Amino acid sequence: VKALLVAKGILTPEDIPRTVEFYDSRGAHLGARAVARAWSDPAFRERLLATPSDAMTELGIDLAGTRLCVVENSGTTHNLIVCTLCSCYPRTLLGRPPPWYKSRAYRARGVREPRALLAQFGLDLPDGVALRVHDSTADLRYMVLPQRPAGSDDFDLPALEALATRDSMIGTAIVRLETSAT
Amino acid sequence: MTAMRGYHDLGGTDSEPFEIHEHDLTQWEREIDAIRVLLADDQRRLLNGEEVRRVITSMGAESYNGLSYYERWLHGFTTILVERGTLTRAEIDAAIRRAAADGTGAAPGNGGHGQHDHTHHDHDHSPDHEDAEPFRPENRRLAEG
Repeated sequence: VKALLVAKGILTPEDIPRTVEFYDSRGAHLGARAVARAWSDPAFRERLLATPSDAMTELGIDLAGTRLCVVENSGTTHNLIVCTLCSCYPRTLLGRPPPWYKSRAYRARGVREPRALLAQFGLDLPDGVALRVHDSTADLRYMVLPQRPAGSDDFDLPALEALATRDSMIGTAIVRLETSAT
Repeated sequence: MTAMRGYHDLGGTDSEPFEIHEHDLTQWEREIDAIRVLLADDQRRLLNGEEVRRVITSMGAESYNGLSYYERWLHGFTTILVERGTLTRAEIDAAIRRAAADGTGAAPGNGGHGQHDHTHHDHDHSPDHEDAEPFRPENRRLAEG
């Protein structure tokens, strides 16, 4: 099919690698840039929550038309993102979704037993913390703004960026100082 | 209520157990991903995401559960290209035969599968590890055609 589309002039041979490269370049590091900035700049945090797309543009991140909603974790509320119907994901921000995000089990259990699901990710949410699950659609995609971890007061922007993991922006993890590798 | 539910509408269903699995996408998967985006871009407008979704959510539960994620995409956008008259089924079949014959078959992970001619579809494909699965020649007819 690829060769046929190229032979018919619908795609050029350069189009495909260029687009593959674009999505290869999209990943958690872009979301992390926004998270780090929001943690250290309250005015930016407000803008990120109110007008996410404009706030991303400030950081030089072009969402290519994706309508994004940023939901913020707090000491009393945790947010989790799922797409029960398919695999909607802020791919122009965080890259292509991880395989488990697209899996039948994640989609089914994300809204059925989200706390048990989070436990499988090693995240035991205390009973006092409310859990909000957001079901993405093709027209509206979500990103979690995780809580800034205690003990990171002295961190500069690059250090904060290194803390914000992909999973923390999906809501299957929280940011901890000792586990910043994911 | 269950009778009303589409097979893709999984929210809240009692599915198989969840396992966390990560893997890097294969080159084939990345290309399928790119081609779908390109066909829908402002320059081409040869399909839109909703059309692909319509094909995928009406392909039948057996196909849906039997194909991997990017195989479903491929099936989705080739179906739309044929519906819209951008490509014909005959052109696609001929291109697949050529690719299989010269070993440039765009199957994920390896070359052509031209020597295989399985017409049955098997269903032991684990959808939860879909993208990590090697491409199955027996799915090719459905996925590519």
